[in-house]
Amino acid sequence: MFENIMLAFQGIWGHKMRSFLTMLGIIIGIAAIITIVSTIKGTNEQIKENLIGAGNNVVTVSLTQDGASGVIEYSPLPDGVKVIDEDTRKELEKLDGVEAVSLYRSRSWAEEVFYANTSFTGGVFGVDRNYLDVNDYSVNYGRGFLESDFTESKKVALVDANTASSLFEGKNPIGKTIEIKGEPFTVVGVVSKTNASAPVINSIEDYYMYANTSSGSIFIPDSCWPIVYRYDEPQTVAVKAVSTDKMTYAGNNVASSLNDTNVSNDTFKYEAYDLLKQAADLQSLSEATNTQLLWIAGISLLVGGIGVMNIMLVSVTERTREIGLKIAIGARQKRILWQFLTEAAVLTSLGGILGVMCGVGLAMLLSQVMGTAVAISVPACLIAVVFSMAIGIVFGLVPAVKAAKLNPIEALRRE
Amino acid sequence: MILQMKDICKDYPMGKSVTSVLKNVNLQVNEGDYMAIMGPSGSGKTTLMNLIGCLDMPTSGSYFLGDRDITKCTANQLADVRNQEIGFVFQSFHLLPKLNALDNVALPLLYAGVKKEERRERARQALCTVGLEDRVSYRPDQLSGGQCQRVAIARAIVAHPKLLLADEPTGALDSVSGAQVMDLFSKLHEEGATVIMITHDINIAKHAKEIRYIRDGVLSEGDLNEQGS
Repeated sequence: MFENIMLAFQGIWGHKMRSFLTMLGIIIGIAAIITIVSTIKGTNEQIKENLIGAGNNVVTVSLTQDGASGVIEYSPLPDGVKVIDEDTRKELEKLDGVEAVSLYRSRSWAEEVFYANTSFTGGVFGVDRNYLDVNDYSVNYGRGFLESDFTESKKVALVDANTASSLFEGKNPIGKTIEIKGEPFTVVGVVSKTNASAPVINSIEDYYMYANTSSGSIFIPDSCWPIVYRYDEPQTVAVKAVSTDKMTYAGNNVASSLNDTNVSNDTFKYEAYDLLKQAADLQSLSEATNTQLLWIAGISLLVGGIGVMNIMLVSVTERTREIGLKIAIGARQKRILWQFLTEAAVLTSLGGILGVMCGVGLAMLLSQVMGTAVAISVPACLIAVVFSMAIGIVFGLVPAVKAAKLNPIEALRRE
Repeated sequence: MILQMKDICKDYPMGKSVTSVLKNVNLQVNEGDYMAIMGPSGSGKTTLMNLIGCLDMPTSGSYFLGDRDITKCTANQLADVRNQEIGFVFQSFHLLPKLNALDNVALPLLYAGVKKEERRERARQALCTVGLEDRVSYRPDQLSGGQCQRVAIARAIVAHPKLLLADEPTGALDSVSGAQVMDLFSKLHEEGATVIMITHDINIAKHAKEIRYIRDGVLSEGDLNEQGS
């Protein structure tokens, strides 16, 4: 086998130009596939990152009615659903896959929020003591929440950087008073995400997808929530999972635990908002278009394979005398067959390796020039090389069989 | 007895009719024989050589090489017979142009599954026997015709075959190197090799101890050389 490979390299090296041109079909096909796969993977990871937030691993669990969320969000806690108290929260933190749990109530699009005459667009969140930690917020200016803010229901608020710039237009917001539904709150600090991964916006669709997260947020102690919104509204649970892969698992654990302990009404149910699933949905959308590209690249591989077959047939004809002699001095048919199969496989494998290198280079160039997200997949590269080797074996088969079946008498007579 | 052919016939279909190239050929070769088979072109001597060399199968008749019934061998068995029991020397050498002399000579041993070190050692010895120990790493295009043919002879003897089969071994050589090659065959014969040589040249055939003539597919019985002289 090793001897065959050496022989194959000698043969390829002996016809550098021809070998390269033959490989070119494979190189182009593999390069195209690697580029496309890298782009798909890059887009997928970008979607996942944008939705989930790198390293944050927070999944939300919220109450749903008949499977739909939102309907009951802004109403009083329905019959048969208990408030999640501190003891329950601590129990939830002990569940498998869960690192930390925080409770909050929210208005995603809060109305009647003003600073002076400026109206605020964004969300208001009534949060517990753990919220900032769980969601990876850190205080940039001013201070965070104090224990007394919660116990004494102090009307203080934290704003995020978006709010700070949109509502206060660059002025220092600390100490300023904002009105939420007529109740005055004093801004005591500005917070921002510690591991902020700003969503990458490539298109208008992306913009709408992520518009939510780039509008402002105002945080107030959850004990103040009933003052503003009057009801004990259903709480949303922010669950920080131990790892990104455990997010769905941790979210489902928390939801089912809550359904057991806090819900006694069949129409209501806590459900984990499955970001991973949503990411997968979006990913399959982007993959569908790229799969068509993969087919086209596959056709170029087919053409490359036919080129290999053609050149191998020429090579067999050229080396008729050599083959004839080898058969005459006792080479078995199988050995001749393998010699040519190996040569074809080495040729296309070389093409595959060069193609992977070109593809990786092209993908990186694309990400530089066009700004598309690119992620190189090592398994994809390995598969590409193995696949190009397989192309060599498949398309080398006909020439190799032809060589092995040569009649030595006629082959030796050929000039 | 190394080789025994009985009533060997070889027919080739030519369109609707059949051409008989060999007609009831009987041939016996004993160990240590040095035989020349002579005949004009078209006499069937090449066909006979292909049959002796197990490159082709007779239409009818029996052929034993040693104890082996060649007519009942599979393709793989025939390959092994050619590899281990027959050494071929061709008119046009048939050396592989990209291999050096040593690798060309070692080639049959590769197919015999001999390990690399031993292959090289035995190939070196064979090149010694033909007097080319100083041309081991030369490629065929760096050797003269006579040297090429001696490399080819080294390749033929490297596997210690029962039978050396030479087809017009001097046909492509000038008279000086032709004579060298014929001396080499005589030397190998004296050392015990069994040689069959196919030629149309009486001066070459005379080197052999026994000459058989073939004409129109019929091989003469007995040794005409001795009868003639």
